[in-house]
Amino acid sequence: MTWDEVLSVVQDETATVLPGVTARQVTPDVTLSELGANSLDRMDIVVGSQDVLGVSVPAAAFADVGNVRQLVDVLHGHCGTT
Amino acid sequence: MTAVDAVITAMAVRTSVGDTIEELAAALRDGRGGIRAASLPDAARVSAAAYLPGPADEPELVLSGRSTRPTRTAVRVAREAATAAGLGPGALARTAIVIGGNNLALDYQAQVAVRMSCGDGRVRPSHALAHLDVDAVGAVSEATGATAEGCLIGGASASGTLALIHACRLLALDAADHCLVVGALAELSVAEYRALADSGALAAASDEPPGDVCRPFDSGRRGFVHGHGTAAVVLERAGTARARGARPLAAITGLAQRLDGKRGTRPSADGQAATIAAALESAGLLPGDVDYVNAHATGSQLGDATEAESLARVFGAGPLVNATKELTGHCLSGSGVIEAVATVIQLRDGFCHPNPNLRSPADPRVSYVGRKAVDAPLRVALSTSFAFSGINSAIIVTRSVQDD
Repeated sequence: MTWDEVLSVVQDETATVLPGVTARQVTPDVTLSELGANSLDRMDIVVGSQDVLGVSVPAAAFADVGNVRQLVDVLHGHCGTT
Repeated sequence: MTAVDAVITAMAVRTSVGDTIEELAAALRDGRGGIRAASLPDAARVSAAAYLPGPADEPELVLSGRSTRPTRTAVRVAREAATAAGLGPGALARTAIVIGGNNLALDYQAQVAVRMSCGDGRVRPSHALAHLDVDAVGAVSEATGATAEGCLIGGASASGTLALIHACRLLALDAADHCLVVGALAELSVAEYRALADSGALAAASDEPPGDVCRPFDSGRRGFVHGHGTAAVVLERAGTARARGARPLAAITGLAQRLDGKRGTRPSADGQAATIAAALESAGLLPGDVDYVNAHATGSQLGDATEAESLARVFGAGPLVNATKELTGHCLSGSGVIEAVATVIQLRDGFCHPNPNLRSPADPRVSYVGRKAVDAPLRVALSTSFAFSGINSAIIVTRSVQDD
């Protein structure tokens, strides 16, 4: 799983959870809050992305995540190689 | 001067026959129903329902985009009613939220369970909140800015009327200056449709035209038809409304709620008649003062027979009686508030809506409006809601006279 493939998963999950947001708007430098996500929406996106990726990441690993790039970094770090 | 002091200063609805008060008013006058063929699984054993037109999801509502259909629709009607009432920031801090209904998102719950056990095994973390009926209270509070106390009032099909009664009591206790009351949309899943159809309460699947299935008080009736619908009203004391220049649309001048003292689904004419009598007494009225009854009348065999008996006992052939559920379907917890709104419209416009399917009344002791609308200068109305578990409730709604 490449970093860009993980980004693509996060983009799709975000567009699914947030009405009116398209995958293209979910760029690496934007934050989920800026896209209109509240804390429950962010949980849905993070857990939904893990479900698609087939990984289980401890919640504490996301403590320092700010933008989409950092979220993808954490998820990608738990996806094994490449 | 009466003990119950609450005027209605704003209303909003979402029903199968109208998204606005004026659309509902036109449907009532024309006797136009919203019951259509329902595309449910065969296992539901139901072929007709009155659902809301348009997409189930309302994506413009970002606030409530991850919430259930009952919460999303509650937000819509509550926001419309609060806006129509013109409640400013100061007033909203003294506005309570009372939502009638419990077990609201049953179809959502069933779909989550099926996905977990038979689908991809996934569930959203937001289910932790979304599965609770009380999500609607927070969502309505956030959408409207109302921050006095708030909760849901649960009493199955009587929930909407119970919520209105609870709001009147909050006003009487000065716990709030204004109350935003919502009768919430209630879903049913395939399992509830099947159980209600098999138990005989709900009209089982048939080949007859969907619009003919619901026949309250008719000798050919064979059960209720489910509807999706919700309504909201703003209640406040008459003096509060007058002081802020809000025009009363109608007043709630009497109320009562009683239990039959037993578990089960069977209604009781004794309990219903006692409740109606208590509502009249609380308003300082005699049976002969009532011009119009908006009956609970779902179209079920036993329910309508029991209600006709209790109305005949209290009123004889007095007031005109009709059944809004023939047009909207039985909206369960939404019904009490939807029917209060329908009652206010008929008081305001001076007519009683028809029941086009009432061809052959089963109990001729009651004065049904029948198949054509009746123009009448209505002043005092009774609206009843009865529920499983022996819950009886009634309110008296009185036309507001300006400078009253």
